[in-house]
Order: sequence, then structure tokens, then C-alpha cells
Amino acid sequence: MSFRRGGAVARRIIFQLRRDHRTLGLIFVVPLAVLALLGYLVRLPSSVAIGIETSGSPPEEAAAQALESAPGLRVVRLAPGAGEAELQAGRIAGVVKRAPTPPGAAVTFELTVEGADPNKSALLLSRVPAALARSLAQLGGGAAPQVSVRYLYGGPQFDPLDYFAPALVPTFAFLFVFLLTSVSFLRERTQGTLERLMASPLSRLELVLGYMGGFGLFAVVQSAVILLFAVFVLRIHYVGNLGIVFLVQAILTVLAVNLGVLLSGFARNEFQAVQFMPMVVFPQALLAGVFWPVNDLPVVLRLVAQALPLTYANEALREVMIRGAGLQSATVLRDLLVLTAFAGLFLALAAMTLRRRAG
Amino acid sequence: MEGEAYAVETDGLAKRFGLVVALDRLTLRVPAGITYGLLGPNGSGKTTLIRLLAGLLRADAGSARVLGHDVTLSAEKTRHVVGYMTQADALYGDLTVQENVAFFADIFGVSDGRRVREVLHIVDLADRADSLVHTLSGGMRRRLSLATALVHRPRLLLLDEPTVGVDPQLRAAFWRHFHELNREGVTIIVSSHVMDEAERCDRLGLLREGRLLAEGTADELRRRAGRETLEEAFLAYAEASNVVP
Repeated sequence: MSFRRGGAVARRIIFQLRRDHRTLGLIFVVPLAVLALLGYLVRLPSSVAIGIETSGSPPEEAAAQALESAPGLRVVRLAPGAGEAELQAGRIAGVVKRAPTPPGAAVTFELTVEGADPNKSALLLSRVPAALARSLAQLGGGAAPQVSVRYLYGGPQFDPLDYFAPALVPTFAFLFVFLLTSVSFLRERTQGTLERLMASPLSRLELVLGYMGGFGLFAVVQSAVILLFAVFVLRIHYVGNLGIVFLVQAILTVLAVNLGVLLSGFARNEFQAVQFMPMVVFPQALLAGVFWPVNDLPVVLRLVAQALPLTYANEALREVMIRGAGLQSATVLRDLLVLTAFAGLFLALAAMTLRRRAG
Repeated sequence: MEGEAYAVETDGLAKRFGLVVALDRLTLRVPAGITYGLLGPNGSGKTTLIRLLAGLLRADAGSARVLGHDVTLSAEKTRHVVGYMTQADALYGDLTVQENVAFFADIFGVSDGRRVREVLHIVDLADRADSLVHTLSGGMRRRLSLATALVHRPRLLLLDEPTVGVDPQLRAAFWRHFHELNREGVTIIVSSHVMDEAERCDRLGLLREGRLLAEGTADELRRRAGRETLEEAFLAYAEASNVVP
């Protein structure tokens, strides 16, 4: 046992790290940045938007005021008949309206919850009926109010996994494919074969397309396996077309291959390539709508989210799997187009930046 | 192209990396069909010259023609007819010997499937065709590296220190094969810092600090320097270049 020899190893590592500014940044800057972002997101004031259709009648006004005084709810007053559209647009999580009843019968309210996010549904189901009961008591109505509940999507059987799975499935597929591709493309450089290929008739685009084809095949198969596991083993509820789900997944993973090739070009060794992981992972895990809906983010973070490919995959998969949207949905179509454009952009950038780095 | 007297012609070729001058206005003629040795210590510009000729680097000044084509303007044309063996074995360790050669054959558009077996025979690796590359010895990997550089029948072969770490027997086999290729009309440029290998080259260029100190056959170089051995001749040329900067 020699402290001198052990000390020599420690000293060597300190010298090496001191010269690797990128690693130092990873050690000291990235954790603080991620923690700050996470803390900010967790402390975002969260209130669930609830709409109430009111024509100004006393029971409806009393109900609106009772909802406004309930904690955790943000009340949006709507004209009669306007609730459903607001609900579908995702601007409110639920809507209350007075149900038609014969004269003299007890006042009845109907609560419709959007249903995609079981946490929001649970909050509405616990607070809205209680608030409505208080409102009727204020009006002096003796009878307990009738509140009927309707789900726009999903239903009481929806659990949090049903809400998170459509976002977690693409996130996992994306990250594994990205890591695999970036490390293996880097190997092409470290083992010297990239130098050989650059001196051959193989063009940069052919090389990147080859990677897309080879890794893309495994990525697409992986997408299918993850999806089938989620649906048949974890038994998540879904309503849409699994073919479209698979299409979104396939485009996303091919995009991940291209991004892996692109970023690995900026790393000199495996160590540096692995460092791209947190830079790619954390922003997408926190901001792409997996845990916090993009629409609830402050405007700056929403703009960042809109620059992240996973945002579009998550949105599309929730549209399809929870809300049953198909290819005729403008949202799904736009998401598919944006993902394809990202994949093409990363492919082109990877091909364009390759020669310079090989030289 | 067949009638070119010179396989490689450079004029005033210059390349620097930051403050380091790798090639200093290098003018060189390599006659077709011979083995030309680039001789010089580490850092003398051998690899930079080879990478420039392979189309991997762009010169800062001057021009280089390979088999009649300007390497900067017609890189696409020269890449099909140049074979390049890098200093390190650029091989895929998790593929077999045969799969490595077949991959480079595909990249160079070699459609004749027999050619892969043929080059494996040339480098004496036919019986290891199905072995994974990471199980091969260092010498076998050098041979396989050569095979991947030969598979498309290049007319100019650029070999960057091809015999580093190779045992004397294999080294002799490599040189026999280089001379066979010369007889078939292939021009070979081989870099080395081992003087006894230089004796086997038809002509030599002595490089130091990116400049061509002297050029000729081994006999001519010794005679002109008035020295017994190439090593002494090289030192004499280096000294002379220091006196007259």
C-alpha cells in the first residue's frame, strides 16, 4: 500500500480533468441548471381551469362564485353551449353546466371532465361537487344538488400510467436510440475507419443515410417492441389507431439516429459523447410535455419546448392514444410533419458537418 | 490517364496546422509504376502529404495531381483509383475478415465477388476469412488492412507506415507483394522512418520539417552525400539544410 502511487493516480486525474473544460462544465454547471429548471417547474402555480356555462341566472351565478372560492381552481365563465369547444381545445380541464330539468325539480348540474390527465380529473371530481353543494345551500335550496359526471376522453378507469405512457414510450425509444447511435458513430472515428471512408468514393450523405438505414431498422423494431409491451403487458388504455402510434414512433427514432450522428461528430471520444446525454435528455424530459403540459409552461419555456422534437411526438401520441385522433386531425398531421422536418434537418446537418470534422 | 509519366505531381504544396508548418512548398514528382519511399522522422510531413493526396486535407497553397487529376478539383475521380492504408488499422473489430474486405469492396463498387477471396489469398488470410477481426494478431490486422486497401485494384496505393510493428518475415512478404503490384503498373507511395526499408524503394524523397531535403534512388542519395549509409546521408542532407535556411 503506497499513498505515493495512489496519489500519483489522483494527481493525474486532476490534471486531465482540469484540461477538459467540457467535463468540468458538466460536473458543475449542468446539475445546477437542471436543478434550477426542475425547482422552477415544481413551484409553478398550478391551478386547474374549469369552465362554467352561465346565462346569468341566480343558480348559475351562485355556482360560479362557489367555484371561484374553491382552492386550486381557475374559473372561466362561458356562454351557454361554448364549453365543449373550449374543452376540446384543451383550454379548460372541465366544464360545468346546468342540466335541463322540469320546473320545480331539484337543480342539477352536469360536470364534464376532459379526462386525459387523471390527476386533473381527480381534483375536479373532488372539489367541484362540494363547491356546487355550497352554492345551492347559499341559495336556500334545501335539496342536495344533483351532479352528474361525464368524461370527454378516457374515463374513471384511466390511471396515471395511461396518461404518462404515451409520452414515456417515445421518450425511452428516443433516448436509447440516440445514445446507441452517437457512441457507435464515434467509434467509426476513433477506430480510424471514418478516415478510410472519407478517402473512398462514399459521400457524406451516403454515410449518414447508411447509418439511418442500419440503426433505423433496429430503432423501428425497438419502437414496436416497446409499444406492444406497453399495450399488452402493462395494459395501458388506448383508443386510437396503433398504426399511427407506430408511425410517430418510427419517425421519432429515425430522427434520434440522425441526431446521434450529428452530435457525435462534435465529440472526440466516448466520454464526451456520453456527455451529450444530459444535454439532450433533461430539457426534453422536463419541457416536452411528459410531466408538465406544454400549455401550462411560461412563455419562454414554451418556446424552448416548441424547439424540442419530443414535444411533438408526445403531443401526437396523446392525441391518438387518449383522444382517439387519427390522420385527419390537424394536430397529428402537423406533429408528423414537424417530426419529419426535424429528421431531415438533422440528416442534412450531419452530412454537412462531417467532412470538416474528419479532416 | 494510362499514359501519365507521373502518378503524382505536386507543385509548391503548402499546409499548416495553426502555427505548425506541416508542408513547406513541396514540389515532388513520382514516376508511375514504381515504389516511392517518403523518408523522414516523425513530424516531417509524410502523413500530411499522404492525406492530401488521399483527398482528406485541402492544401493552403500549391497544387497536387494524382494520376493526372487535380486532387482538389477532381477528388471524386481520384478516390476510385487510390488505395489508402492508414497508420492505424482502420478495421471493424466485430466483423469477420471476409466481411471487412467485402464492406470496402461494396464501398468502392467492386461487383466481382471473387475479388474478395482473391485479395485474402494475396495477403495470406484466406484460411482466416471467417475469424472475427478482434481475435487476429497485430500482423494479421496489418495484412487485412492492406487487403481492404487493395480490393478495388487501385492504380495508386498510399501506404502510411505499413510495416510498423510487423515482424521481419511478414515485412519481406509485404515488400515482395509491393513489387508485384509495381509490375502490374500500380504506383506505390510508402512512408517510413526505418532506413533499411528505404533500400527496397525504387526512389526516395527525404522529408524534414515539411521540406524535401533530397530526392533520388538510394544509391544516388548516398553518392551525392558522399556517405556509406542512407542514415548518414540523411543526417548530412539535414545538416546542409540547416546551414542554408
